[in-house]
Formats: sequence, structure tokens, C-alpha cells
Amino acid sequence: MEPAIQIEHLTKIFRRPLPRLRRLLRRPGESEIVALNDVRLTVHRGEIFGLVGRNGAGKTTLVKSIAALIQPTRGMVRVFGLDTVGQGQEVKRHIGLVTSDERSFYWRLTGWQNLLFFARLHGMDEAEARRRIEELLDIFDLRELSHRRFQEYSTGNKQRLALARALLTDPPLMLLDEPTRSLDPIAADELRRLIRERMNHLGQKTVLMTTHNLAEIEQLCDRVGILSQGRLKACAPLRELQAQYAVHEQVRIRARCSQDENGLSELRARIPTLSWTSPSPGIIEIVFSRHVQDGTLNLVLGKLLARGAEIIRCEAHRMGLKDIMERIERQE
Amino acid sequence: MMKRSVKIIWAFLVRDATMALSYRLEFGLRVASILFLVSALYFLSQLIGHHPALDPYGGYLPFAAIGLAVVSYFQTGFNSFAHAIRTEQLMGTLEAVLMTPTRISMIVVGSSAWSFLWATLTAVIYIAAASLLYDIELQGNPLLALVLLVLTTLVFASLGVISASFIVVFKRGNPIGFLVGAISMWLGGVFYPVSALPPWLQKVSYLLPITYGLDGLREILLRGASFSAVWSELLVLSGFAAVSVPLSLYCFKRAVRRAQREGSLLQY
Repeated sequence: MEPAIQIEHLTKIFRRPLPRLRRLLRRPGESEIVALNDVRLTVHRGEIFGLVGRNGAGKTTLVKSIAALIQPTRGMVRVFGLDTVGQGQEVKRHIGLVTSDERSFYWRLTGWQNLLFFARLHGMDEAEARRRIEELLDIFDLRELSHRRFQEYSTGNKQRLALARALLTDPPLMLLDEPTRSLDPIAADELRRLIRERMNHLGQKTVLMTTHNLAEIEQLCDRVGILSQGRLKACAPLRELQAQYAVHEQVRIRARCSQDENGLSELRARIPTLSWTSPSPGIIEIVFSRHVQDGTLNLVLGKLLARGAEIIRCEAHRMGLKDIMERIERQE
Repeated sequence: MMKRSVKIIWAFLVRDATMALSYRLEFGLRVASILFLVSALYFLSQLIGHHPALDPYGGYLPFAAIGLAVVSYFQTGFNSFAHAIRTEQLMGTLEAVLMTPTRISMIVVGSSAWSFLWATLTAVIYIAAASLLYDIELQGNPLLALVLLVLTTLVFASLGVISASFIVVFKRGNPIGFLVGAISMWLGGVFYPVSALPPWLQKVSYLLPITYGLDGLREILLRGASFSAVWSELLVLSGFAAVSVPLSLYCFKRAVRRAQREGSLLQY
């Protein structure tokens, strides 16, 4: 079976027009920007794939290349086996695109009129379009607002309408480009719930989403790709990335016991990162970092228990996606 | 294919009509401005009175009213395609529209449909208002007039498509728009007969398609001319169309391909 998205050696270079004239006029500035550099990626059917990276890393260019809105300078992109350059119109039938750009709707038209206009452009039969719009308005809880002008919608409702529009033709691939940007935390959480629930409810869909909200990736995505300066630096399930990059974790133990300086010093001799404090009498808090698979946690807990300590709390903080991204960028 | 094209044009027409009618004051003001202009032409025609160059057309008001009615069509054909692309780019809706499986040529044509409908309404108001103020009797074969009108609009529309090609690539600064638009209004015989121009400028005016379109339409509508009287205008306009239509399609195709390759189609 063809993968949902197959990208081979994708390079996109944005060139400024008339470079010779610019040189002649001595206008400074880069004549070209490499937005994507030899990107190779396969997204499987039914997968939720997250794409992260700093501003300007190339995420939106990659999304637009997949959506056949931008042609590659080199390489190729296939969507369900269709080439985005030669079969662009056909590719678009398989894709629902959601961006955070509020201007992608007609503000003087109502939500209903907007959806009907786009349904007509998709070539949907009039009756089918109206039935589908009704269904989507119910799913996204927009029925009461549907006859209000788009300009009267809140940012959250505008995003819901954008999701509804992307689902008009029930496409098998959804491209979500920062769908929760500019939403408040509650609206963003609600939208994430809709994405999680509705993508499954409306059929097994493949989702590729970009975001700066790393918790979103951790909550929703099966795999994550990290883009940096146009290159795909890593691509794996988050757990694998953590195993590869986040090999250390910080452990914090709170226990009820007497402060045994000798015993703790003995531990520190074996674990150099270990430190301790006593936030209140009879309570001790120990912090140290360790390799995730070493035996230091057993050692510390064993020592404490042997001295009759009562463990109140034990937490381990492993490196998150942000730390992994920073680490990958530091490696460059 | 044809059915889908009609559906798409209908979608754009409904969209643009809904948006235009949502600005009710502007809509009313546009109609009022046409009426004001016709009444101003009426007083001008009273001032001019009889003139040998205008007498064959029944006076200045019928001459100018037909000129204005028809020129609104030409201007629409000429401006609306570039305007359609530019408006979608500026509004930020082009990307969403391009995400539908609609060809960009259909997007441009569909986005212009309302402008053509409005031009028809404008032309009707010009002629109706002039008829109310002045005794204008429209004559001739309406089908022949329609053929001439469509042919001239086609020439202007293809120039408009070349103009849209500039907008697709360069976003602003459309030299075709300025040259053809301004020169056609100046030398094409919209407000005054070409015979009023100095002889050397008259020669220039016969390089412009609008001159033939206006001449032919005035001959048919105001003097009841038949095919045999306007065949030369039809022939010249067909020649213009034979060159400009394929050229415009070629330019537009190349412009879109270039913009897609550069990734600049959505920029403005």
C-alpha cells in the first residue's frame, strides 16, 4: 500500500527575482534562501505526524509543498502515490489544509456562506454540500453561529470553521499548520480534543501537523520530525527520540528521616551530581541526575529505606521535546 | 467539464454579489454616480447643441452614453482579471481557494463574473437614463451588436489576462494597464469622435481595438447599420482577437508556472 506522504530529496530554494539587475544596482542581500534542503520523509496512512522546529525552519514550506501550493526546486513529493507537480489538482482532492490564518475566509460572508462557497469549488453536489455542512456545523458546535458573518467569530470559532472547511470533502489527509496558534489554552485544548476525536470519528485519517506547542505533539502524535534550517534532523516516535537524545533524567526524592550527613556524603561520593536540602525539620529533599538505565535510583532509595526513611515523593523529570530540539541544534 | 465550469462561475458570482450587496451604501452610491454622470452629459449636450460630427448619432448625449456604456464593458474585460488575482492575494483567501481542485484560470474567470454582471447593469443604466433625458431610439440588429460587443470585450479581456500575468509575477506595476487603459480613453472616441483629433493622432487611434468596437456599436445602435456596413470593424477586431487571445493564454500559463516554481503565487 502506498504511504500517505512520500518525500524524496525535497529541496526548495526561494530566489529573489532579477539577481543580475540587483547585482548591477548593488542592492545587497541574499539572492536565495534555502527553505528546505534534501528532506526525506514518509508518513504512513492513519498516522498522526508532528513537525516541529523554530520559526523559519521550513515547516510551512514543507506543508505547502505537500499541498501542491509550492513546487519543489529539486526532489519530489507524492501524496497517496500522486505527484504534487504533475497531478497537483488530483492531490488537492485528497488533502484538507488548516492554517492559523484568519484571513483565509471571506469576512463579510457568514460561516454557512463561506462553507457553501468552498464546497461548490470542490465540485460538491448542492444537496450533498448542504447536508455535509449541516453535519460539520453540528460536529464543531457552530450551528448557532452559522448565519453570523465570519468577522463576528471569536478566534477559537474561526479555527473550528477552518477545521470544518478542511473536512468538507472528508479528505484522507489533513495538514494542520499551527492550528492552535493564537488560541487561549482552553480553546487550544478543546481544539486538540476535536482533532483527536474527530480524526478517528470521521474515518481513519492521516494527519501531519506543525506546531510550536510541544505538549501538543507529545499528546497527539505517533511520530515527530524535527526540522532545523530546512533539514529534517530527526524523525521517530517521541519515546525513541527520548531514548536517543534524552539519556539523562533528573530525580527528586522527598523523604521523612533524620539528616544523616555521613550517609549522604557517602552517596555523593558515588553520585557526584547529588545534592540535598532540608526544607523543614525531619524532611530531606535529595536531587541528582542519572542515566535512565543506571542503578543509582535503586542505590539511593535502598540507602534511605535501610536507614528507616519514609519516602514521601519520588519524581523523575526526563528531557522533553524542547530539550531534545535544543540538543539537536547544539550538535550542528 | 462545462457543467463544472458553470458551477464554479456561479459560486463566485453568488459570493461576490453577496459581498457587494452587504455594502449597501456603496452599492447605492455607485448607481447614483452613474445617474449624475449622465445628467452632466445631458447639460453638456445642451451646451454643444448641433455639431456636424455628432449629428449622424443624434447628438452628443446618445454618442457619449453609448461610449460610456460600452467602455464600462471594455474596462471590466481589461481590469477585472488582474483585479481578481490581486484582491484574493490581498484578502488572504487565494491559498484557501487554490486548495480546492479549481484551475487558476477558472478562479480568475469566476472572480470576474460579478464585474461583468455589474458592467451590464451599468451599461443598461447609462442607456436607460440617457433615454429618459433625451430622445434616443436604439436601432439595428441586437444580435449583430452583441457579436461586436463580445468580440471587442474578448480583445480587451485577453489584454486583461496579459495584465493579470504581470500581477501574478510582479504583484504591482502593470504597464499594460496604464498604456492600453489611458490611451484607449484618450484616443478611442469615448467622449468625442475620433474625427475631432488631429490627423496624426487619428492614425494612432486606428491602432486601438476600442476605436473599432465603439465605431461599430454606434453605427449599429444609433444608425441601424447592417452587417455589410460594419464588416470591416468585425474583421479588424477578429484579427486583434486572433493574436491577443492565444498570446494572453500563453503569457498567463507561463506566469502561473513561474509563480508556482518560485513559490510567489500567494505573495503580494
